[in-house]
Amino acid sequence: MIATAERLLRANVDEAPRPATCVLLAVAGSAVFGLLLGGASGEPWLAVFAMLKLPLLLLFTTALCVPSFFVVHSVLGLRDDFGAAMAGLWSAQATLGITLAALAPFVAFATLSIGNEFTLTLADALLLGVGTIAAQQMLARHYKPLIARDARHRITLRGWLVLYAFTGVQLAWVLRPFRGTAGLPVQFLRPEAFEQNAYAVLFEHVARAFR
Amino acid sequence: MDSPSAWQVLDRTLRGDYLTRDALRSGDGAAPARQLIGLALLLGAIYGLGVGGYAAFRGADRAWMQLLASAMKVPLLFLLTLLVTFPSLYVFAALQRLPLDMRNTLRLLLMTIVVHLTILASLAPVFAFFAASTESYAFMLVLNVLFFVIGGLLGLMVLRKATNAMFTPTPNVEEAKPEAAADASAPWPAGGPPPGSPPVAPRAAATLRQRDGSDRARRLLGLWGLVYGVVGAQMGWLLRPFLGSPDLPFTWFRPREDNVLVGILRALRAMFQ
Repeated sequence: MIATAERLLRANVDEAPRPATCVLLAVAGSAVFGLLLGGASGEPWLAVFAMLKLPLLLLFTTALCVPSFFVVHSVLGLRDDFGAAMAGLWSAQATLGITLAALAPFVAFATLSIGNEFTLTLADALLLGVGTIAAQQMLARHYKPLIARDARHRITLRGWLVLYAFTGVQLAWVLRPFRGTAGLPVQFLRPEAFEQNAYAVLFEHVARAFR
Repeated sequence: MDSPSAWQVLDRTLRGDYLTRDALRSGDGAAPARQLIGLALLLGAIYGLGVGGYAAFRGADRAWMQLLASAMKVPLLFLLTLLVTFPSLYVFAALQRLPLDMRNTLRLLLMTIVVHLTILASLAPVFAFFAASTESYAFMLVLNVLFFVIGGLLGLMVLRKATNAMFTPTPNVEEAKPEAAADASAPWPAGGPPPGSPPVAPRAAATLRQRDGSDRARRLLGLWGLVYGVVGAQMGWLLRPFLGSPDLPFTWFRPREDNVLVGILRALRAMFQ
């Protein structure tokens, strides 16, 4: 699997692995990250839940965004390039998974070093951000020839990034807890999972800070 | 051919003999990883004994245990830091398409660690001398940090040399010439192009690719050095005590509190009070 991961990371656009291989790498890599994230609490079930939820986060976010991605390609007259764009997306997902697995030791290290729960959440977000940057590099590699062919691919690329991030944040909010909170029971999903909106909560926090 | 002794491996590592293009890219004539690990353990233990010597000289509680603990914890500090930072460096190196596979990346980092630890081990007598002649615990803490920083900066030179060696032009690719990229009319060495060559400037293109790769490698390894330093410093904080305060009972590990920066600032303040 390590050899496959290295091949993918170094591959040229035309050597990209099959989508199934990419999905496997994305699932395996993000599961390792989730395992350490949930395991940080010392609760075995939370470790198992987080190990399942991180890959779900990646796959569901992609699944939710792909239909609009296809429609935008069709509307812009780029339907012929949709296959190539999807190959880039799968490679980017796999890159995200591989990078998250490589960053997993930092999760354990942060857990041991940082006492404050809020700082820990920030550290987790930072690691996810680093993983996203790596995925972004892979996506840029795949989009380079597409953009050279038709500059409108920039629109689809930016549109994808905005939609993916926007949806991913809310899905991560729905799928919490990942690390777990001391004093709260171990659950797969919080009871209010589908009742709150991540952005509304964020605005509330910001507004409270200025009151 | 007989495998070189640990001493020979150390000597060649310090001289940079293993930092050749072939050794880094394909592992031909590279340093043996097992011996590098053995050397790291030994050199770390030597410096650990020097650091733990403070507890022995100051008559701290169970000073011999502190000596043993420090001798074990210094190599552990380096290896755990490597464990945390190596996977991500490997992934980003592959993503940037640097010519380093997993084994050669690990070997390069081990060489960096061995150089760092050799410098620390060579400073162990100096540290032990100060330990024997200094009462101030804060001063010894700051001295320890200073020695680690000196070793780390010299260790980083290994990474810099490695980057230069990795992208040394091959015999058929000459030194980069800025005008070569623009001047497609003279792309070949004296004697003209080989038969069947395309009418472009492949030599110039290869040179530019090497430059680009070299820049990316330098940026990535520099960033890794920074991350390694930060993680290593905090790892040292997690594994403390190394010196063993003469006023406190012996313990293998202290409870988790603050962070390394706060600890260093506190030691500096105590030193000047």
